[in-house]
Amino acid sequence: MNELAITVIGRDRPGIVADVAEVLARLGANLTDSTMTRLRGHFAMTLICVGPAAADVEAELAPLAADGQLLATVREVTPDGVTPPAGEPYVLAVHGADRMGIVAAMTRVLTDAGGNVTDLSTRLTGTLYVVVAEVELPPGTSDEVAGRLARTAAELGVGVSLRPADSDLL
Amino acid sequence: MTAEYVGLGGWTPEALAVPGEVRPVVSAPDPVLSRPGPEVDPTSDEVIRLAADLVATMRVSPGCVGLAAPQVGVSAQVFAVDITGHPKAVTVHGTFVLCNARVVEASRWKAGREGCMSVPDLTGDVKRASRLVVEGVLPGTGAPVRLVTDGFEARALQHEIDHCAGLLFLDRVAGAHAIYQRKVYL
Repeated sequence: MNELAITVIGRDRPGIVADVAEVLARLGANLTDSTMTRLRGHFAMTLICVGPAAADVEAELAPLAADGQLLATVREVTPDGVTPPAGEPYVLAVHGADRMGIVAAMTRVLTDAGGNVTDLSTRLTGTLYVVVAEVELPPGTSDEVAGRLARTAAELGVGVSLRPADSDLL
Repeated sequence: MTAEYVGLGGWTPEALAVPGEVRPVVSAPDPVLSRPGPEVDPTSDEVIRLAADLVATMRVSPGCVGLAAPQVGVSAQVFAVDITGHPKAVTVHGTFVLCNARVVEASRWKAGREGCMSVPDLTGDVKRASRLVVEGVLPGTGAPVRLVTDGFEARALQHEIDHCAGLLFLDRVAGAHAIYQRKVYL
């Protein structure tokens, strides 16, 4: 079984997901984890599939990209390696006037603290820039990280919050 | 319906007078979790045994604050709840089992991230009422019960009542980006 990383991105239109998923199903490629979302009028799909050879998927997706409106890439990847131990889960939110380097500076703070970003979205609307991220931090470091994030945010002139994202088992 | 609904009246699982046995907990995608459970006869031996088993199974499961019949493979409107000692507990009614329960009042909806023993690898953001009134009947006697609660116990009750209706928290997540890989950290 091959594990494939597939990306499809192109001008948004109804039916992209159905078209791509149909190709994958026809090839016997099992769609496992994926995110599919609209980014400023482009539809972006990032997915992991298990099944056929990368070349076969590429060939079957090619007709969808033939009109130049979609770009598809297929790459074989190594299945799940050893996952690092999870830290404490937090949600980071940053918002403020758009400027260069907000994501770079804020995520550098997290990385330097031994944190790990597991999910991140950004939106630019007008001049407002918003970053929301799921992050894992080494146990007991959140206060210190929050302080460093606040200092970096102040330098950038943006607001930041870091709150626990713990879940309740019911 | 002329039954007068009252509080738990000091009910404890000992009132069931049968020893509970630990049953295996089933996980999604077991179809029993997606099937609405029928109402039960709360005085039947089968339901009394089920109630005792739910309490026993809940008690041996670390971190478990509630367990519904479908989670032990039985399609039925029966669940156990006990949030005693939970850090988020506000109002606490101790350990109890309700049959044929339904939400009669719900208000002050709040988002929260929840997980489920039957969906072990995922969590999701779900809005739940933080003020809740639930009516149901007790196993054994069939005595009608009206529970007024809030906060975490309200969330747990809604989660269990959903199970009895064949619903998982996955059916109520806030959006496409509101389910998460469960993070097990110690």
